[in-house]
Amino acid sequence: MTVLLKVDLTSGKIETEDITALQHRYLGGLGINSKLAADLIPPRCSPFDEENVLLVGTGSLVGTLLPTASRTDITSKSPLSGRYGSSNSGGEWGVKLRLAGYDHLAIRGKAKRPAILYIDNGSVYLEEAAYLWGEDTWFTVDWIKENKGNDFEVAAIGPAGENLVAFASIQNNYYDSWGRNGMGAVMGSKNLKAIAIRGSGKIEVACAEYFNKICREAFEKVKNDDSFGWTNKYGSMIASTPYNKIGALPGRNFTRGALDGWEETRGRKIFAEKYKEKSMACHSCPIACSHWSKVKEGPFKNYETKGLEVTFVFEFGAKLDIASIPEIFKCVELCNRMGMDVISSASVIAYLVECCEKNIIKSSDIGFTPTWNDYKGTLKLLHLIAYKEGIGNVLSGGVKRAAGQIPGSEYYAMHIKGVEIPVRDPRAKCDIWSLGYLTNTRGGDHLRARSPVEIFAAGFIDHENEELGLTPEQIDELDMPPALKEKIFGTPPSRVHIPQMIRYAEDLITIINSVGFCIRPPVLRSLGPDFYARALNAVTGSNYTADSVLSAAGKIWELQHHFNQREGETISEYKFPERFYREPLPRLEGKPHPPLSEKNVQNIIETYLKIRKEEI
Amino acid sequence: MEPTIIINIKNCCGCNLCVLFCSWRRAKYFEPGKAAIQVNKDYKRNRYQIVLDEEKCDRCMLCVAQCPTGTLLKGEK
Repeated sequence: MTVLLKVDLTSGKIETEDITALQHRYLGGLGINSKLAADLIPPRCSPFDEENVLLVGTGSLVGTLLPTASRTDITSKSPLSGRYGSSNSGGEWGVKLRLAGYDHLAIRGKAKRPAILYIDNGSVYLEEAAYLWGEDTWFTVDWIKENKGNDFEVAAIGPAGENLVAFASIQNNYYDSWGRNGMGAVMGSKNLKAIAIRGSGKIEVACAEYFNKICREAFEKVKNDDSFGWTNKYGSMIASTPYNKIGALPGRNFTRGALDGWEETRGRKIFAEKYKEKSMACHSCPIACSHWSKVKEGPFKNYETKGLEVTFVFEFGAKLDIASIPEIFKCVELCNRMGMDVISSASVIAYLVECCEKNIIKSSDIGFTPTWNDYKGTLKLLHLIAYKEGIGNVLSGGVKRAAGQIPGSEYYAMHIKGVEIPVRDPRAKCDIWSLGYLTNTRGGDHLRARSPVEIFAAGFIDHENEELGLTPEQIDELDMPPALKEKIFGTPPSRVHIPQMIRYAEDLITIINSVGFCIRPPVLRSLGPDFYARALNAVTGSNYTADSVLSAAGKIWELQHHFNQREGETISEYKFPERFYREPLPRLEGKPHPPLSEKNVQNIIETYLKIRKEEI
Repeated sequence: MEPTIIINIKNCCGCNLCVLFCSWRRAKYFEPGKAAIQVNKDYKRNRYQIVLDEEKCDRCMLCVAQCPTGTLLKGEK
């Protein structure tokens, strides 16, 4: 049974609903959240209206021992984009929610005073928490664990969420986040400081014998994938070195694809040798791609933390050119404690620094001169943003809103559909990953379209087709319906058709986010729709096939797309910032990457949108 | 000589696979709290403690076989 726990913070009413029928149509997690968002969030309501609903959805395989089955999606109307908002996180929080007997939460209304929602197995109650309002997330998690029990898992907001910073995160215990799209501000608008869960029940499996078979298959495939070893050793930091080498960094607000001294200060080797102490894992994950790190010398000697993720290095290390891993650690810690998305936080500061460089914003107006590689200035700005003070108030709405207030600054506001763009410059390679920034239903973000056969070094045949880089045997082995293989790779397989693959990659990641698996390469590359259909059938007793899970993913995309359309989205918003069409991107060696062709990009988007209307 | 489980806690990555496999083998559902092996965590400081219930544990060694980091090793006493 799939159970929705409904909490009305205005009336205090708490009730449950059996939504098993939705699981059979929309898979779980992100899928069910998308359906609930379409049904429950009124069109044109403000993200901060009491009517907006904060939806929590654990993946339908979460809590089992299937590899990486730990992830939870949070959906709401985004205060950053004003559109469909969604964020995903792992750890154990979602597992505990399922063990407490609930799969989904729908939280509406607004508490009269700051409150915490406690879900203590069968006992669900709201408790006033004015004494924690204003405290950072770490203090909040500490307080709940000390006063209610160390076995509580906590999702909490910090001052940024309370102050309605448009890109406030919800923190998952101390170091993990539901980061993107401002879900923390929705929580803050509801006067909800935290959701604390103690779950000690059980999660049942519909067919034990079949589950055993599925489980063996999944572990074998994930562990035997070529990417398993390097993902364990470096985690996402694997990308740090090649992105600089190729010139794909978002350096200094997307003006430099490579940065001097990068490898010696922010490369993967120096991180692994100098800082990494051990691997860390989310619940039920054999990959263990996270790290525990320790600083062994210098002003931050003996500082320990979880990290580094490459996103932190690309954001604070490249966008702001902070050339010290310990300083990057500390910037991330401040974001975690204030409860702010790392990507949007670094982006708004990079926008400010460039505007100051170009004299669009005067240092005299903000009281100091922010610069690149400016650790102390960055910390100061992060505080100003979290508390909406001075220039921080302007930046707290995200770069799109800030550009609306500061004449002449729009060119430097690097966003798509109001959401700051992360991690990689599309001019280095305008592939599925880069174009996925445009098609993403949650705005400029890189995590909802990643090809399972991605080869970063592969070249282009033309702007719509990428070189294949796989053998016919590898294509045969791919868990993908044969008709789709023909559409994407051709007959005989000879290329990757980019618009077709964007659709497939989005649908595959939608399935993954709905069952609660992780999109790290060993999973993304080795497991496909047929596996997920069988796993769902084994665990939930559904009757899915590869085709029907893909069809469900298509319906989930439609729900998100229609949500955005009803809020006024048009095709004209599927557009990169002007800079990418006008300026070449310098790198350290070789010719600069040329600007993108607006015509080619628009052609691909039009083809993609046509493909979206086709039956699979 | 009886088989025993040696715990090398400094390697533990916190994945809980030992708990999950133990729970599954015993009950054919997932009730981590009733597994013979438990991982207690201090997330903030990354300090873990593994507790083995010697009476509950039947030395099947499934946890040892599934441990991805060599934290759990088979020994004899």
